[in-house]
Amino acid sequence: MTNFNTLMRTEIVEALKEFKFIWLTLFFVILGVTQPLINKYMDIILENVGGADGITIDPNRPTPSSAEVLLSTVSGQFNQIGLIILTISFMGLIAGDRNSGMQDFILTRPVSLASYLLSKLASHWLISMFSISIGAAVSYTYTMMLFGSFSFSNFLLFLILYSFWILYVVSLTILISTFVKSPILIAVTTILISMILIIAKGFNHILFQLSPGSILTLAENQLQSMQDLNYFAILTCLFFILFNIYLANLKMKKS
Amino acid sequence: MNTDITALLEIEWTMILPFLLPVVIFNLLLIGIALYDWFKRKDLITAPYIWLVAILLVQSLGPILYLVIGRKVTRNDYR
Repeated sequence: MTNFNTLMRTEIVEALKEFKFIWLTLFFVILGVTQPLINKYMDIILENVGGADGITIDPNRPTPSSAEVLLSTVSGQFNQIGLIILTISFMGLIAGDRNSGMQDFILTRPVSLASYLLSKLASHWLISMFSISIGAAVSYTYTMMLFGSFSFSNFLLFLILYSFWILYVVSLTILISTFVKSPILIAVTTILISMILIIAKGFNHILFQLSPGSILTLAENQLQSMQDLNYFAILTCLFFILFNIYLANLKMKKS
Repeated sequence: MNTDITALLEIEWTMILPFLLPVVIFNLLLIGIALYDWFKRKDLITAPYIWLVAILLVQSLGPILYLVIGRKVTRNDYR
């Protein structure tokens, strides 16, 4: 357990030295601020920025509720551009260690492979959740200011469920980086697979409800305050995370 | 891309200021961090001036790509 703590601390110190906490947070804050502002001031922007001659916005259009705006922030911004930048930011999490020879150095010490992989998982999850939470909180306050109130407990519940999805993405990156050597390819594969999972969760089929993407459906339903929720998704997601880590462990033991 | 600068004069700034201000400030912060790092490392990294252009001109993606990729690709001095 001390190994795990030490490895995790080095990861976090490295992230601090690379300003990762700062720029990832800034990026998610920008993402979170943009969406509610665009939703609110769309007509003014179109009027001023130009190239909009002939475009009219129905003045009678219903103003979106704060839940809808939060939902579009998450599914439109965080799950697309946010996911891409997030994956790029930790594409080198194992490949970088391997290429610099650090991995051999660590694994020839009395450090178990599991604690190495788990420290990677936990530290990168912490870093990304730190940034995403601040970005989402800023987005939440903006949405509150512009569109009216929204239950904070629901938002918190959403954030907790969303963190499981991020945990899954990190574990997917770890699994893929044990198979693929180049960091760029790792990022591309991870982004592709998670995009497929995000699309697949839309299909209302029992097979897709068992896929790890269904945790996102559960999280987004928290924002819409829907009933009849499928809390089983948490279990399947955790199962997939453990499965990914287990596979990565097996693969690295062999090589 | 709209390159007509006179359009900037016709914008009602007071109306879009609440929209513009936070986004601009956060973007400037991001560029500031990337520039600070670039100044410290410009003798180390490959193609520093191309990265400078990328940081300054590519909005919000440029600084991030520099901080993720650019600062790690260092010049090989042992040739």
